[in-house]
Amino acid sequence: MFVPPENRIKGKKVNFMATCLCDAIFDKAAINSVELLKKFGAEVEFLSNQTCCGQPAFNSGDFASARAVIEHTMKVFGANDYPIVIPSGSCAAMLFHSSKIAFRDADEAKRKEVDKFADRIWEFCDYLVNVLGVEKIGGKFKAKVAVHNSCHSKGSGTPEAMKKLLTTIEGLELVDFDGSDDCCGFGGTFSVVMPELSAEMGEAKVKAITAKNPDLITAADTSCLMHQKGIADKHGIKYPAKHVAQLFYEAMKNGGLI
Amino acid sequence: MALQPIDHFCETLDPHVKKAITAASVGSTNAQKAILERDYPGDKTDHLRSLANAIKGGDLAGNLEKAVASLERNGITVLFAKDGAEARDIIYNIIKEREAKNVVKIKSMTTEEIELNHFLQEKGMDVVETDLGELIIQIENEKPSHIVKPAIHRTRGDIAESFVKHNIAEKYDDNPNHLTLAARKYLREKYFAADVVVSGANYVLAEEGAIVLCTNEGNSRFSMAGAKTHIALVGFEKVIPSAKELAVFLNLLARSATGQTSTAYTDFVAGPGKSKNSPKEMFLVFLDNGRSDILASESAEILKCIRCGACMNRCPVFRLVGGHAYRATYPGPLGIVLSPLLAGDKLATLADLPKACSLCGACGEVCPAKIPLPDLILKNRDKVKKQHIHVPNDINFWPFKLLATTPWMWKSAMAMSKAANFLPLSWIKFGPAGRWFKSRTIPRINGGNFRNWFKKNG
Ligand code: SF4
Repeated sequence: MFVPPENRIKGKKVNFMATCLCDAIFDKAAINSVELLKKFGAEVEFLSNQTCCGQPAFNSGDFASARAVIEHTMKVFGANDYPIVIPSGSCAAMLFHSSKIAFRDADEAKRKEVDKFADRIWEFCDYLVNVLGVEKIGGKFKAKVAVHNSCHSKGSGTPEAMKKLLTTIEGLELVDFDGSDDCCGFGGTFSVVMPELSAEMGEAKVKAITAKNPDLITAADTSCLMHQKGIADKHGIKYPAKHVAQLFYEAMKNGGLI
Repeated sequence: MALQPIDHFCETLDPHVKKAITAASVGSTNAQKAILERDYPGDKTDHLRSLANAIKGGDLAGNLEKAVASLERNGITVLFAKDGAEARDIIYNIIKEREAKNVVKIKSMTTEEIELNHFLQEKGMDVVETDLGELIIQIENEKPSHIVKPAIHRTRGDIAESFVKHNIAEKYDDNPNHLTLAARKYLREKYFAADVVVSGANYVLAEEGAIVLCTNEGNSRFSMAGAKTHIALVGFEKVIPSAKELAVFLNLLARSATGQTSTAYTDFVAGPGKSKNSPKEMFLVFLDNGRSDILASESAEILKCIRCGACMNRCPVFRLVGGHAYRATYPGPLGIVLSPLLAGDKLATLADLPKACSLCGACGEVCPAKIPLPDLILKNRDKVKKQHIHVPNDINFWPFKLLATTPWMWKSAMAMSKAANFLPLSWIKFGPAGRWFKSRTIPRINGGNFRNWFKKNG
């Protein structure tokens, strides 16, 4: 379990870290995240020299490359000392937990810098509820929704925050499915290093979820959804999936709240 | 397409075996969860796990010293073996000096680690595993596929066939009760004939000078009742301060391993000749075999393991392949940490193991000793990389590193990435992309859209 530091920095002025996947593919998830942050009172800054959290290299054991990318990220976000909000539980865990492992042999000053940086990291839902104090998304979204809690978000406030907010949406019904605690097999580079295992884990997840016929699958991570949908597509299975920020946004829009 | 050995194992494993492994593992995980929630609700389980972690993190060297004194006081001869070869020789010589031939064994992963059975058999001894699961695999010359349930990969039908083949049963009968009865009859004679019993130990109590054996079949008592000499082979990390601390572990072990409140038998052996039928002499061989190096390393926490198997039961990779895929004594999350470390300078032979993990973290959540397994797995990956050991399907990250540390390149790559939507990417059959597209599609690429939006609307 990747547990965030205890006393993270709070504040309404925030940086948005888009993540490489939203930068390249899931633009809507990032756009809706920013719109919601603003709607609920945050002042959002986007530092345009940002790139990635370094996770692909880190998970593959190339800590030297990961450190170079984290150094870059710390430098870019060193422009201010605001909290950093990320629409991905996994990238957040990379920067509040794993970065410390990447730098465990560095000198004390560097380790302190990494620790201080970790104190600024928030996943999007966790930030909405536990910093901005959002109690309610409201609006309408008539659908049966299956929630996939990404493995890396489990130790943080994300799953609870996400559930809390989803249950405030009118017409939205959460559906349970078997093995909801199990990994879907994406695991970043795991999916291309161990393609057979990864695909088999993904197929089990897709099967367990579609068995309950949800209208939509959502998560606080686009990466897991991309993998699951990619597998479902290959099998010709319909798999409507959206990042939770998109779902929140649409619900509010349907309810005339945004 | 070149696959990692474990991935290849997954692709080619008999679907029935795979199903059996998955079902047994999922069942064990559910049983562990249910019984811990029932008996230690709320944060009580976590409290126990923290205690276990703290006790195992205590003064191991001090406890070991104390244990040696107490064990010797109780009449146990204590010996030290620096590696497997030395341990095998010590054990063999003890048996040879007694002109003994018949050895019964009580399930022990440590003896698996040093491959004791083969060694003794090659020297002409009759070595018989008395735990049913171990017996099932021993007669087929297999290795355990799980540290607690060694025959998890075998079906009833296989076992019935194998029993006939090896003269344990007269005719094919896959009724589990009948299989057990046949084994029981076979083992009875072995107990009577036994000269020496070889065991491991779940715990060594430093203060009391005793070893503790947790078993479910009563085979440990039968084995000890028959034999004259008892040899226990124990990794030195099994030493705990005293019987008081033992309570924490006994409460966690069976619940985590098999979903029982306690194993059916918990034997305390505090020296030879203590009761009418117990062995007349006892030896305890403390095994190092790389443990000192691990203790001094950043992965020392893996020595807190109490060998419950919960991590492998919970592991999504183990559930699809079982223990044989790992080519080492210890499989699953425990194994991908411990086996490469035990391999010492032969790390290259097991360097792929730490990759057999999606980093889902589930093992760390169920480990009763609260070992941060995912972190240790990552440290192993780092170690492999630092030693420049090549692992199949490894990705070269220099292009990523260059892009992700050079903002102008990153931005233009994002802006240009949309072109990929017009390429027949799914035709790629090699490299990481080929491995992705074999089982998946990718979504539309929208590189740069968010940045443009933010410029206008942010
Ligand atoms: S690492 Fe933990 S969960 Fe795995 S076998 Fe050891 S004690 Fe059990």
